[in-house]
Amino acid sequence: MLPLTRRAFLELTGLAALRWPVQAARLPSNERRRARDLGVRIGRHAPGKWNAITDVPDVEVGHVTLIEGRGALEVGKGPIRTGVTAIWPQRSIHTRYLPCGIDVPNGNGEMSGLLQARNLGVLCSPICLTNTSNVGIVYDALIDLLPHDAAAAVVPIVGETWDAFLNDIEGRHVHAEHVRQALDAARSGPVAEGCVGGGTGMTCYDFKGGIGTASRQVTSGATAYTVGALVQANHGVREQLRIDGVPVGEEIADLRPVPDDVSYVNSILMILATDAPLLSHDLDRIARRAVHGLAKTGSVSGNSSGDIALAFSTGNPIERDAFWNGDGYALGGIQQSDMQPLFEAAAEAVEEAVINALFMATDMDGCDDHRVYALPIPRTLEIMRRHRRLFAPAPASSGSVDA
Amino acid sequence: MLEPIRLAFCDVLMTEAWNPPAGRWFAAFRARHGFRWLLGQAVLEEFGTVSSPLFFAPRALLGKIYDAGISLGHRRDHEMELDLGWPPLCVGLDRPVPDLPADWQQQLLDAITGSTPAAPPPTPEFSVQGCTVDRDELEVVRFDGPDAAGCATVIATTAPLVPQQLRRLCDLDACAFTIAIATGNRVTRQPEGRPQMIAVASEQRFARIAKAAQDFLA
Repeated sequence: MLPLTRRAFLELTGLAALRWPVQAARLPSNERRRARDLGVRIGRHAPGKWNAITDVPDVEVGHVTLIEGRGALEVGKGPIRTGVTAIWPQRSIHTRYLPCGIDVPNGNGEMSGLLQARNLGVLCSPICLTNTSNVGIVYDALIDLLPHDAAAAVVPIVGETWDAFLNDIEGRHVHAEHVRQALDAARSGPVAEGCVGGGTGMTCYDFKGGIGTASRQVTSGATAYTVGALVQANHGVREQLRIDGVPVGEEIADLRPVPDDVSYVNSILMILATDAPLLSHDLDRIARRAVHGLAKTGSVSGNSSGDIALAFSTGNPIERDAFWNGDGYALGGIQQSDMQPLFEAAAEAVEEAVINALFMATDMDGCDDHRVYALPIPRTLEIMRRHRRLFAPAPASSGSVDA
Repeated sequence: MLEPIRLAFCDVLMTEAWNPPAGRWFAAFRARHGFRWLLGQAVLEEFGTVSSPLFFAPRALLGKIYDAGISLGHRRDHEMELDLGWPPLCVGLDRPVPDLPADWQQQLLDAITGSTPAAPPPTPEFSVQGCTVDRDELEVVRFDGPDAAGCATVIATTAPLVPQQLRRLCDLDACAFTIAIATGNRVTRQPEGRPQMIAVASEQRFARIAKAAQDFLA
């Protein structure tokens, strides 16, 4: 007979949800920690070392965060609450392309390169996330970074969400040097979350949103793979918010944005990475699972929402020259019947990434003294406890990092 | 029907005069031959409409031109909504990148907002064909390239076509990029959220327009 540990017994009987509430609820109201570190456990698969998109080998993330000024909006001056988040799928992406796929659950948004992803099925540049009005500037900065002979052949990937509630969006405060800084700052390891980079001024379920990330490790066939997600979360209305199935948004009716006169059903960008050797059409299918994770946090993709998912694989690099010239090239491919764990991993990682964005974001004021409150963590944990969805906090190895 | 503005670094097709009241035109596109230089795609696909001028520029300049389009959108309205010029629809052409004048963006904005007429560049970069089909006007603008993989086409009509019909017009073309726009319906905000009546051309009317378009595209 297999020995049944006390922890396993508690989890099997559902009693684990009752076991750690007091410790979690003691968290000071202004301290931000990631959901898993506090006992919120999304899904059934284990995260990677950092529980971040950077658990996928070669993937690096960097942010430049621009926060300046307060008070009345003065276009061109501020207040500034914006930035840019850069993702290197791998540092040599200009010369070693990666297969990619896309899904657009609701297209009220912009991500350059959608046709490239659809027609060529490859990623040829870093990915940058910023706000709506900075897309052209960031795109142009990425063009300048391309090798000269590639500038006319490659469409850089730039995604956006709308941050004008807090930020002087019309002022377009992200410049080419910020893009370069974000790319230079990109690293593997823990990823700063919340009010950072492109997510600085974003609002999510009427709480402060922004950047979130998570990962999952799964076995597909006989091989272990990692799937990581990074989101720029700026979507949803309060009443929709669910955390691990718990209707947290319905239970926290206060702490609404100030002024509370706009329903911000905005957008989310979802970037998925995996080291599984997938082809472009496989990655379209992975990207299509992002919306399932998003939906579990409560979103139904609002009419004004630009919900766009892009998935890429580092497991199938393609030499640029072989892609464009010569006879062709070979790629690995996993059995379609082995895709299932990757689908689950993709959905779980996106779901937890959204929740991490909420847990890590802090209160923020901005244009015209508009204010967006952060998710109140102690209250949230108490709600989770009442619904028996609060578990043992994860070991401290999780990838929390200060912004 | 489409008012062209020509600058050395960018061609613009205006679907209506600068800064009209909020509104959108039905539109659809097709891309072929691996074409991928398009910004504004997600909205065009999701809603089947455009509200911005159509920008055509060398591929490497798309980011700059898009940014100019954002400036225009913000000038119309801070919130820059779907029916007020967002997103700028920018198409990359297989053209060499010219030396940009220091005030290129101002030149572009002035030309579009009408404060300064655009100085015509030395050589024509596109051709325009037009006719009347019964009571509907049809215009085909062709941006030539070295071959089908390098050309782009705009098909515009005053007929009340809806996106699925416009997609069928695009299917008649062989260029790398084709966009079709119909000005027969202007999608506008309705008082008290009432439904807007949308006219739709019959298949017979559509077939006549498609035949005329095909003659131009042949």
